[in-house]
Amino acid sequence: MKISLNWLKKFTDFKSSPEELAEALTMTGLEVESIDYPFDYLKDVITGRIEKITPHPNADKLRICMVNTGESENLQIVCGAPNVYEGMVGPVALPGTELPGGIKLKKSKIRGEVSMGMLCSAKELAITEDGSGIMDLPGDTTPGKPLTDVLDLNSPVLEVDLTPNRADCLSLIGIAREVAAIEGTKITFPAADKYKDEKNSGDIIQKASVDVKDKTLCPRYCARYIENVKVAPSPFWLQSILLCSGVRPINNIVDVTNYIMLETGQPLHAFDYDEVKDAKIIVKRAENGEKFTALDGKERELDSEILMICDNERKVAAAGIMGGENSEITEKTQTVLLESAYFYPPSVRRSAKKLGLSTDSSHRFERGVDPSQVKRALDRAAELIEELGNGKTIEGYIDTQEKEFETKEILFSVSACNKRLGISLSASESVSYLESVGFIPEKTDNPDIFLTKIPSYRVDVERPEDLSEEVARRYGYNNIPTTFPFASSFEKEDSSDFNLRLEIKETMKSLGFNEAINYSFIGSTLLEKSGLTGDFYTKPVKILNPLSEDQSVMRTDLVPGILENISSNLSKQISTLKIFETGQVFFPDSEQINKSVQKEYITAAITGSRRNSGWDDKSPEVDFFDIKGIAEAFFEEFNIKPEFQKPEDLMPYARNGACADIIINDEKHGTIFEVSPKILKNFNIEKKVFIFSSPIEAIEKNRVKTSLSREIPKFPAVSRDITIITPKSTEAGKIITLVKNLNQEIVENILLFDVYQGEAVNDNEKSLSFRIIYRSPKETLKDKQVNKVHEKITASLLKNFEIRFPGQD
Amino acid sequence: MEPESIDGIEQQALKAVEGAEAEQELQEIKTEYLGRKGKITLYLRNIPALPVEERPTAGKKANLLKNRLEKAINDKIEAIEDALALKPADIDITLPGRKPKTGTLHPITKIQKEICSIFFKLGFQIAEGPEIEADWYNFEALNIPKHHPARDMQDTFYISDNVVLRTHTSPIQVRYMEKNEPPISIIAPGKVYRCDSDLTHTPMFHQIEGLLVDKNISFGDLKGILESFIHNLFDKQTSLRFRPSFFPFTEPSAEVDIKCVMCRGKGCRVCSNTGWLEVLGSGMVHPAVFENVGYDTKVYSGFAFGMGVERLAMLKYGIDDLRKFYENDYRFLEQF
Repeated sequence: MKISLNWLKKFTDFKSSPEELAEALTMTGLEVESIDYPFDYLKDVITGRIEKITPHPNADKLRICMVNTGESENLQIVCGAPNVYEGMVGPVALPGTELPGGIKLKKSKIRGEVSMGMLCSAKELAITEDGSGIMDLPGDTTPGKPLTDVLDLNSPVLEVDLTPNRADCLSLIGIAREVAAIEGTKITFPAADKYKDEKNSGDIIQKASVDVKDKTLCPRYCARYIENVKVAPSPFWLQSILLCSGVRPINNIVDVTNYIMLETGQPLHAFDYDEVKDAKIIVKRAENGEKFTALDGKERELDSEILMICDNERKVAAAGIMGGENSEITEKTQTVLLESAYFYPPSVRRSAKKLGLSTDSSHRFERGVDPSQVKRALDRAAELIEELGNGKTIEGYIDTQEKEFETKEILFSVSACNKRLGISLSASESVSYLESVGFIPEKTDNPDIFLTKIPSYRVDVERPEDLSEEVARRYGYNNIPTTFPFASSFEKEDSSDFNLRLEIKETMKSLGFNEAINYSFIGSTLLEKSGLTGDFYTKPVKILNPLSEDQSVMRTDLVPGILENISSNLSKQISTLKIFETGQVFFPDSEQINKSVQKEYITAAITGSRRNSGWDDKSPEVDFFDIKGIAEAFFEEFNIKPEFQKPEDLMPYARNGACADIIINDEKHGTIFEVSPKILKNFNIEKKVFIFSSPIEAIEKNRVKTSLSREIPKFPAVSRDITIITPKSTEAGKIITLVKNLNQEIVENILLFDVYQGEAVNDNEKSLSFRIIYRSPKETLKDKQVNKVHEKITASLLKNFEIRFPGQD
Repeated sequence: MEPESIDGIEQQALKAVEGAEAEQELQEIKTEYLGRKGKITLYLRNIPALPVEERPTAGKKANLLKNRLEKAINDKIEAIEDALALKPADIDITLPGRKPKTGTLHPITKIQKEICSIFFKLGFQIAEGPEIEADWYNFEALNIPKHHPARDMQDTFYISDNVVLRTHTSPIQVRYMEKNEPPISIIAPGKVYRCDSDLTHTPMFHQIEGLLVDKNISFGDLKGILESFIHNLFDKQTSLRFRPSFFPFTEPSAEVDIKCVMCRGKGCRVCSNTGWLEVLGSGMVHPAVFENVGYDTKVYSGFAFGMGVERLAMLKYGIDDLRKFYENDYRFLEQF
C-alpha cells in the first residue's frame, strides 16, 4: 500500500517527519518498507509558457516556440508536437536533464535552428501513457516553477507492507486513523452528505434494477445512475494522487472509482449503462464451463462457485474482481451505472485464485471491506463525478441490504489483558488505548469488564485477545517488562530423533566426512541418471505445483543427490571427497500421512585418496574395504556389529560383485557398494565411488546404549600364525566364522593379516595368513594347551575347506 | 693363565669406562668385566683357590670393585644419554605435519545444534514432525482456514488438496499438544518448504519453532525467553525490538528484530541500513489453536515463536549467499 503523505495531510495533521512517521507506524504494526519520492527524477523539469510560435524555416512539421521560463529572456525551443499554442503552459526539460529512459538533454540544433530545451509530453516524462502532445497545464500556472510542485508530484510516499489482518488500512482513512492515534490528532473525513436526504429507490428504479440471486455471496449491492457524463482525462490533482499511490490514471470516471477506493477502501465499479442489457443487474453464480472476457482482454473459463455480475443476457463483471470488456467505460460512454457492494471474502478469494486474477479490488474484498461504508463510498464517488462536472447523478439509489450488519461486541477484561501481556495498566489507561483506535468500551457492573463495541472496519477483531493486542500496540511492545516464566516441571520424554541424528552426524564427522544437505525433491532426469527407472522405479510422492521439473517429486533415495554432489565437486577439481547426508526419503501412502511414509537415511560416499598424501607418503586410492571399514566403524560407535552378505537384490547403481547388504540381527539394514561404472558415466564421474547407506532405524532398533565395561585381561596372550593356500573362490569370512564357531574357550580372536596372490602360489590360488590370539582368563597358557587347540583348528580347516599349507603341493 | 691382580683389573676397567664415548662401548665393558665370563666374575670365581688368609680381603675388594664399576658404567651411560638429549635433532620442522582429517557438520546442523542446546538449558525439549503434512496441521488447526488471505503469506507446495509440504514448523506444535498436557515447553527444528526460489529464497529451508504453555504465561515471559536466547546465541550487547505483527496462530503477535550484529546498529548492507535485523516471529498462542487441541483457554496461556535457521547461520558465520547452503561445494562445507 502506497501512501502519499501530501494526501494524508488532508485527513489528519501530523508534525512528524516522514522518517519519524515511518518508524512510528512500523512500531505499531504497520511496517513501512520504504520512503520514496517516486517523481524525484523530474526535479529539474520546470514549467514554461509559450509566448510566441513561428514556423520552422526548414521543416514543415516543426515549429519554433519562444518559451518563458521565468527568466528575463525567453528560450527558443524547437517542437514537433501538434497541440502547442501561444499562451500554453507546459513542462520544459532544460539541457543537462536526464529523461526517463536515460536520454540526457543537450543544447542542440534541429534542422539548423537552435533548441535550448525540450517541451515534453506526459509519456516522455514517464508520468502517464499519454504521448499525444505536450502536457497542457492550467493557463494560470506560473512559469519557471518545478513541475513536481505544480502537479503535486513531490510528495514523500510511504510503502506500507500490510499484514493480511489489517484490511482497514488498505485505505487512506485507515492509515489516517492510525496516524491520528500516534500523533494525538483528529481526522477530518471528507463530507458525503450531498444526497443525505435521498431514499432507497427513487428515480433510479425507472432506469435500472438489481436482482441479487445469491445473498450469501453478496449481502449488499448498491448502485447509482449518472447521466450525461463526458469521458475525458482527469484533472491533474486527481491524476497526481493516483500516480503517487501507484495507480495508473485512465479517465475521469474510472479514476474517480479508484480514487474513492484508495480513500475509503471500498472498491467500486463503473459500467457503461448502455451496454447493460435491459438495464438489469443480476448477481448470480456462473455455470460450469461458461466463458468470460475481463477488462484485460483475456477469456477465462468459469465455474459454479464464481459469483458474476450479469445483465439480462451477458456477464458484465466477475464480482469484486474485474469488470468485463463488454461493458467498460469508453470515450463513447454517456451514462454510468456505478456499483458499490459487499462480497463474501472467501468467495472472492477462491474465485480470484481460480481465475488467476488478483486486483486491487479482489485484494480488498478478500480481506474484508467495511460493510457499513458501502453506500457512503458510492455517494462519495457520485458526488465527485458531479463535482468534476462530468455528469448528473439522478435522484435515488439502489441498496439490496436486508438487515444492518451487526456491530460486534466483546467483553474486555482489564485484568485478563494485563495478565496476558505481563503489565499492570489501570482500567482508564486500557480504555483510552482502545478508544484511540476507534473501539468503544462501555462500563459494566463489573469495574474490570468493559463491553466493547468493535468498529465495523475492524473485521479482524473477534476475541478479547485481539483487544489485548490493540492495547499492547498502543502501549508499546517494548515497554512491556521482560520477565521469565516460572517453570513448573517441564520434564517430558524426548521422543524425537534429533539427538540420535546428531550423534550419527558427529560420528560421521569424526570419521572425516563433511555433511551435505540436498533438497528433498528431485526430478526424473536425476532418477534416470541413477538408474532408478524401469523395474527400479519406485513411485514417488509427486508435487502438484513444482517450481521446475527437476524439483517435481520427493526423493525416494539419498544416493542420487550424493552422486550429483560428487559430480559437481569433481568438476571443480576437488578430487578427494568424503561426504554424507542424513535426511528423509518419501514414499506414497494413499491412506495415511505419518512417519511410515517418511523414512530417514544416512548415506555416505567416498572417492579419491584414502588419506591426505604427505611429502613422504603417497596415499592409495580408496577401495571397497574402505567403505566397509567405515560402515563397521560407524556401527561400532553404537555398539553394533553388522555382518555383510552378498545382496539379495542388486540396486541399479551398485556394481555387481562389489556390494553387500548390511545385516544386523538377521535383518537387512542398508548396503555398501561400489557405484557401477555405467552410472558413474551418466554423472561424468571418472573416479571410483563407494557408498554406504542405511536407514537410521537400524541404529534406533539395534544400538546398545550403555555397554558395560569389560575386564582387562590379567594373563598374557599367545599368538600363533597360520598361512593357508586355497582356491581364489574361498571366502576368508567363512574361515573366520568357522574358527569362531568352534567355540574354543581359549581362542580370543582370529585376525586376517595378509592376503597374497602371485608367483608363489598357483594362478587360481591365493594365500591367506591368519593370526589366532589365545588367552585364558584363569591362567598363563602353556605351549601344550595352545598346541592342542591350534591343531584342532588346523584339522577343522583341512576338513571343511579345500586348502593346503605352504611347502605342500 | 695367571689371574690378573684385582688392582690391575680396577685400573684397567675404570680407565676403559672413562675413555668410553658411546653406550654400546660401555655395554661391552660391562660384559668384559661383569659378564658371565667377565674378568671380575672370573676373579670372584677363583677366590676359593687363593690361600685361606687372602680370601676375605680379596673377596671384599672384588665385590666392592664390582659395585663401583657397575655404578661408574651406569653413571657414564646416563651422562651420555643426557648429552644426547641436549643435542639438537637434525630435522626440518617446517615440513608439513601428517594431519589426520576430521570432517565437518553442515552450518545448518551446526547452528541447529547450538540453538537447541541453548533452549535445552532453558528447559525446552525437542519435538519433531513429518515434512509431508496434512492441511489440517499445517493450516486449519493453526487458525488459517481455507480461502483465508493469510495463506498468501506462505506459498505452498501441494501433494494433494489436503496434503502439503509443510510450510513452517508450526504444525509440530499442534501435533505435540494433541499428545501432551500442559505444562509443555518444546523446541521443534526441521525442514520446511515454500514455492519460492530467488536470490533470497530457496524452496527448502529450515526453521526452529518454540512453544511454551503453562498457567500464567505472559507476553513478558516471551520477551524474557527470547532475550535470553539471543544473548546466548550472539552476546549480551545484542538488543531486541518487538514489533506488532500478524500470525493467525498468535495474538498478540510480534516480529522480533535484533540490533544488527554486523554493524552494531550503525547501518550496513546486511541490515539494509536500518540497524535492525528481523530474525523471529512470535506471539501468545491464539485461543483458537488451544481450542483445536482441547486445552482450556481459561486455565492455560502460552507463547510460540519461530525462526529461520539459514538467516541466523548467515549472520553467525558471515555467509553472504543463501544458495551456498544447498550447492554442497566441498570448499564451503569444509569451513565449518
